[in-house]
Amino acid sequence: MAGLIELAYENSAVNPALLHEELEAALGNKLAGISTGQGKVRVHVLDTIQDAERALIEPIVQAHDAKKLTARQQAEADQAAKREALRKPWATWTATDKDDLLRLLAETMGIAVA
Amino acid sequence: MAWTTPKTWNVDELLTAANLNTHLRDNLNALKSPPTGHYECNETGDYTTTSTSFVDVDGTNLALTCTTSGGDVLVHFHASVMHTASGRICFDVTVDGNRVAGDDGMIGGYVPVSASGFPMVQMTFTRLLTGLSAGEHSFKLQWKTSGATAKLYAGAGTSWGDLHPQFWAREVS
Repeated sequence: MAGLIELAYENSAVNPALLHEELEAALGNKLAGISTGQGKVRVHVLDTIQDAERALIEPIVQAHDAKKLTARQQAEADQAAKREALRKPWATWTATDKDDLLRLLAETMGIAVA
Repeated sequence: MAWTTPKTWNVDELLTAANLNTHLRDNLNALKSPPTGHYECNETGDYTTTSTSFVDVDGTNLALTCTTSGGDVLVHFHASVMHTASGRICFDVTVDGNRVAGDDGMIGGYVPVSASGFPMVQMTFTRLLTGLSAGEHSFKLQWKTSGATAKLYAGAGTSWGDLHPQFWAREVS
């Protein structure tokens, strides 16, 4: 069974979920994950990683933009914005608002909504 | 001050200063100040991980060193954690590089997320470690998550999450 090695880089501004996705796209299942703390990013990879794969890591970490969101984070932000938009007196709710609420509830319950 | 196995005193034996100092004074001092490693987080940023395998939380600070006399050691940790997408977070400790509990570690929990926010979950354990030889030992805190991102609040000024975890190890016998 392969062990893990840890590669550390200076970078205090990180969106961990996004950086994980960016590194996973390059390294596949050789990425175990990333950790942050003490102003560093630590990338945990299988010790079977090749030099060519290892060389991909630092440019990805340096190019990482912590302000960007993953698709999931964007969806969560969109849902939160929709919820906020519905915080208004019931008397002012339109049919569209009610549809939006049903859609949000369905998404929360894991029911696919087209 | 290291512990010395107390000598057996004989009838009519002359009490010497050296023996009294070694077997009484020094041993009392050793009991008063047992080998201890301790760290309390007060960091500039909280810790996060996306790792699905156990990795060090902080291989520099949440890494303790104790020189023991071969007795049992208590290790303790407490913290508050959260998860970005409803998932599990597990903790373990390594002693000299070997995980104590193995498998999914010594403690874990499911951290849910709801539309109303990200609940905090408290993680705490105290564990008796036996069978350690006399000498220097390193104790490191490790964690993993089932996916997405786990966060450990580390006194970094986060609103309502400016919490200070503690990790310690002490020889107790």
